[in-house]
Amino acid sequence: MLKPEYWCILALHVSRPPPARYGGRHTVTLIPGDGIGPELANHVRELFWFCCVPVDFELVNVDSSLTAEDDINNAIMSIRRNGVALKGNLETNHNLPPSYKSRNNLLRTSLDLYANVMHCQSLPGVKTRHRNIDIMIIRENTEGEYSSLEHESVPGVVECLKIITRVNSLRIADFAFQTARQNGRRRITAVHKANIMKLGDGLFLECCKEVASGYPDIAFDTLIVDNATMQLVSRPQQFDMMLMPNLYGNVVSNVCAGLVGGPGLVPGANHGEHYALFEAGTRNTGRSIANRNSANPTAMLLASCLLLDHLKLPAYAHMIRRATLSTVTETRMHTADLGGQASTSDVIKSIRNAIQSTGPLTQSI
Amino acid sequence: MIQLINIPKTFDHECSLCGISMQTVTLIPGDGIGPEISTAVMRIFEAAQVPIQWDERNVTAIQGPGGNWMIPPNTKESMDRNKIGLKGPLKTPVAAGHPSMNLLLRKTFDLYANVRPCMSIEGYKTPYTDVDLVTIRENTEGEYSGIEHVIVDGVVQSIKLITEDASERIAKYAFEYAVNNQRSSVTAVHKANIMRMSDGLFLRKCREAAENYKDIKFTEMYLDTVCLNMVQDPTQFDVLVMPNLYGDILSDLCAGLIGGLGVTPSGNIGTNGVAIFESVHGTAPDIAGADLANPTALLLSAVMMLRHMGLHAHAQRIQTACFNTIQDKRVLTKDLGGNAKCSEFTAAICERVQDLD
Repeated sequence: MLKPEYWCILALHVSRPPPARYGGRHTVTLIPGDGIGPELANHVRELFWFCCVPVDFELVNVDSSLTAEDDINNAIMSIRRNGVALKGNLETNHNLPPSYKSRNNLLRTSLDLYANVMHCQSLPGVKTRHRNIDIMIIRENTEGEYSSLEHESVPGVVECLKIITRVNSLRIADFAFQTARQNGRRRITAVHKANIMKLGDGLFLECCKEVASGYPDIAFDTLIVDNATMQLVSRPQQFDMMLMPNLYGNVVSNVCAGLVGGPGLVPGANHGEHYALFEAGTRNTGRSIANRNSANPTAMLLASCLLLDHLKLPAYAHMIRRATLSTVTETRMHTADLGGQASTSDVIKSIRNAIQSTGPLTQSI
Repeated sequence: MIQLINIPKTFDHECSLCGISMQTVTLIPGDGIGPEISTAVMRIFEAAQVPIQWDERNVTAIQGPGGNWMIPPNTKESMDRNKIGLKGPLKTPVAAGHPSMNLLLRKTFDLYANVRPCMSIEGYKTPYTDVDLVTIRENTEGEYSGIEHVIVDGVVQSIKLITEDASERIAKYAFEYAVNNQRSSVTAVHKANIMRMSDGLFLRKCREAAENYKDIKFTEMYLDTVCLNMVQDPTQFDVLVMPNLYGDILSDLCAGLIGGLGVTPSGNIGTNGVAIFESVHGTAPDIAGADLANPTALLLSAVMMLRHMGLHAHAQRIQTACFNTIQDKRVLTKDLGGNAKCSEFTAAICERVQDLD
């Protein structure tokens, strides 16, 4: 008979959020990031306090201008400890030499956050050219073109390696099909360029087909990436769930976010075996609108709701999500990116009012 | 007005009937609907009295000495002589044992720049109006080098190759194009935050080229930001220059904005003054020979070709006739929302071209 401690260790190996500590309160790493990151992180913190959410944020500042990697390593250590994080985007100065790696990418690869999930939905009240879009995008998040393996073999000739592995392709495909089942998705479209990259994307497709055969209830088809983008701008309603390697995921997720109203609306989640990281879906720093109280807080707030879902705090998640979405779709308090004139604080105030009027006990305004 | 490169014209002979100097253009009708749409273009050009004569050639791959696949030597010789070509869609049979014909053509003539002007067609409604941009894609290297290896079982590497020479060449071309076509800005599209060395090299060459064209505004933008902004407001873009894969994706994205590959022109510029203009849609074998095809893409590519050759008046007349026919909506092929035959659509354009005379 196994001792009780052994059952605990076994249970932890199942993909589950860390247990709450210190009297039922969760500790979550918060990385404000650059640009509009810090102001939005503050809004999330204040809103959580206002709603009496049992989450304490461990603030970890990462200075992306430093070449030393101490800051990002601290952040990684913190996330390993807490298991879950919320972050703003960290700026990458692409004029620095290759030894300076993208901080965001370092986080994803060190913590093996292999699945990036973005759910793009048309929202009533947001003016867009296309309606009735509901696409879930699953993007492989650690390899592919983002392997950061480059060398200059001969002066003036640079080679960049795109790595595709069977293990990671099977893993992401399995994640996609399981997520599809959990969310009632009927069809997955794999996006690729296997007609040109026959071995690389060919392997990815092969793995997807292999996994698809184990899920006969979910339809599976494939589409070449350039055709996929063309279809997305003409008839995006045809897509249900899309699955793809890293770079195509970058393109497709940004196209979809643009189609439903822009970077201010869509949250993103990064999942690994042991950790989860939540952020705005299109990962923009918003440098040009930083500190002007004009950024759209919706994406970040919805990301924090995804975080609450992950921590198994659905009531709080529902409360904040409902208030945030009603501010966008019903009250139509829109920031500049949606064609409105409201400031960030106007939107936050509107959300707080919505919560106050319908939700459980909150702090007084 | 589209002028690709200022090259010296080759006047082949004077038409004995009218004394106008005729230029010869290599015509590759292609497969599937290729022959019908080529015929349509030839008819329209005849109606517009364009001083061009066609040198029709075939590009079935043949195996030369040494086992290398190549295009027929008489086609190569024709292109080398005429310098200008117009091509319909070519099919790539699966497991044919030879590379795609498009790839062979690209390699034979070193077609390093793929140019796609995307302009909204009045009369063919899409959710996007006022699109007016040009994508210039490096067409020889990048992610499409075709260099792949299986490192160990289950691990594959694809090599993306970026060279200084190719990047310099495409960057220079982009700025030349902007100058020759009265464009005000060039945007380099890249992902140098992730692919620091490769896209970094590409970006550096673009910046260096920008130094020589101070009148043209130069900006840099991440690929994902371009995609995000493109679907929200395409009017903010003018000329876009980028490596192969991004160019492939973005040029098709932009084609989608204006209505798809059936209405998008395309030109490929090579070294030694060679330029091949083509329609980029498929061969549509299901409607081949049924007189249902839409010749607009090939026609607009032919118009691009005329401008490249300096025949601006003819180009403008044919383009106007084509756009007016589409705007009129009375005679449209099925993909444009009508139910006319290809020949009827062509006849309508011919009539308008003659009226515009």
